[in-house]
Amino acid sequence: MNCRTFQTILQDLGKDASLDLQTRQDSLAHAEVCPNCAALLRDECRLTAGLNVLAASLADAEASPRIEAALLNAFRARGIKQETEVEAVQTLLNSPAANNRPVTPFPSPQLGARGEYFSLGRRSRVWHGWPARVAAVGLLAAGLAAWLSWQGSNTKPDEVADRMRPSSPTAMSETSPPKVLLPQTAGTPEVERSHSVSPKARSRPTARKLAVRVPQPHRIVRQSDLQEPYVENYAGFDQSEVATEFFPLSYGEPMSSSLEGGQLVRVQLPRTTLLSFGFPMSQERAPEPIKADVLVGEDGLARAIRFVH
Amino acid sequence: MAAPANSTDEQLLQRMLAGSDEAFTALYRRRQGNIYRFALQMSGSRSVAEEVTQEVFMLLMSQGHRYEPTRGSLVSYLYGIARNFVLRSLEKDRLYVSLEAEGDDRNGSTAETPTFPGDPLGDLTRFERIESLRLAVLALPPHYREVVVLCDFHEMSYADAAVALDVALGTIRSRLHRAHLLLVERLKANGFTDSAPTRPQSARCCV
Repeated sequence: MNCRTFQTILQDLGKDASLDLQTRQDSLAHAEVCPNCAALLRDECRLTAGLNVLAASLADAEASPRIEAALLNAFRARGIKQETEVEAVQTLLNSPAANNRPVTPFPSPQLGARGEYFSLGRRSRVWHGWPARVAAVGLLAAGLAAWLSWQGSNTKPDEVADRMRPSSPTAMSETSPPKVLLPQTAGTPEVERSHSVSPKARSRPTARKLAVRVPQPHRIVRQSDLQEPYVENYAGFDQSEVATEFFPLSYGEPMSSSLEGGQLVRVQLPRTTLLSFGFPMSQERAPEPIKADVLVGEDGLARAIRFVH
Repeated sequence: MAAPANSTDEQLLQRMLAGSDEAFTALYRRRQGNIYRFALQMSGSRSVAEEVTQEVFMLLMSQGHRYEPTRGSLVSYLYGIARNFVLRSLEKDRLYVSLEAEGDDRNGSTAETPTFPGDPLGDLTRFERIESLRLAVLALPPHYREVVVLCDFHEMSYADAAVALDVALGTIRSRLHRAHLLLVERLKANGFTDSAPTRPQSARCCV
């Protein structure tokens, strides 16, 4: 046994960890004749004892019960959302008009499980190719915005609405929910118009259909509210963001009764708004605003909201 | 089907992903303490610890299907997620705790003050010395601190810690060794330990 070997097993010696008897005896014998290693072992034992006491002082520390309650609410709300999403996807898959189109559920950017998005150990691997993706998305968004502005100046709303009607009655049933049409050019000045909904994207072969189901956050939304608007996938979505599902903002009437078109606008809200929708909120970050996307109907009323992180 | 109390973490996760409230609650109650204490010991802040605990289980709800049992235990997976959230929080909020800053925050949201009946373990069991040790741990660089928290506080094996931190087992050993040396140095600087070599890594066999 020499000092280098001794130091490699120093922590195990201090912890009285699983060292075989021979190694332990050799180590202790070495410490008896080597003052430096003996001092190291003494310090290690004291440090380990102190760490044990420190760990024991927090042995009963637990998260507050409100965290469990909030998580359970979120879990239940998520279960409801999953059920409705499955229904939406099945409906689309059963639709003959949708058979030739790739169908994706509501986009849920991957907020990295371990090593996915923000794991420091794998960050370099994960971010390979991101600049190209961001550039592609940016170019697509710019092109779409330019096309929309040109289209908006040359097309009457009625014509657009006519175009948006499904060409085949099988594409959507009689009771199918209304579609979100084109973004309004006159937006609310206080908010950022971050996402727009393309009226023509439906006819593009590469466009992916996006089914958005309005969930029942606390089982208080009427069944009639659950008719989902069909929203085209839009290019302005920031893939690095994580968004909740849309929550209906009911004004005493079913959301679908008057929603013929609309736009998504990005707003910033007080973080306490999260509590109104049953989400937990960190008191420490209470002063910070939170981003949200609001689905605004043609009548100017906010119809649904989702939170973006 | 086994009762939640008799189920493994992995079984509870499967049932949770299938929509079982009961399984989710059981899994949360079984593991939230580990995650909360890990985040608390890493950050020194109760609010950060609660936020991390919350985010870990939110992520487990949405991405629990990505867990691969072949790569390690579920608790290691949860520690790994918590570690990422803690590091992100530290990076974002600049919570790299200095001794002075932490000392000013004792009455705020930081970890609770430990209490020690009697004096059974010598110098380090005295309150001020344990408090000094706590601050020294918080002042460690995060990649050393996380190893100390997992291996010393949570008594995790080196192999499990390697899985949780996604590093090689040898890296865990070397980081733990280096972290302990740093802790001893800092405690000595505060006059809390007695004789020992100043730079142990330079020690050579004197036999």
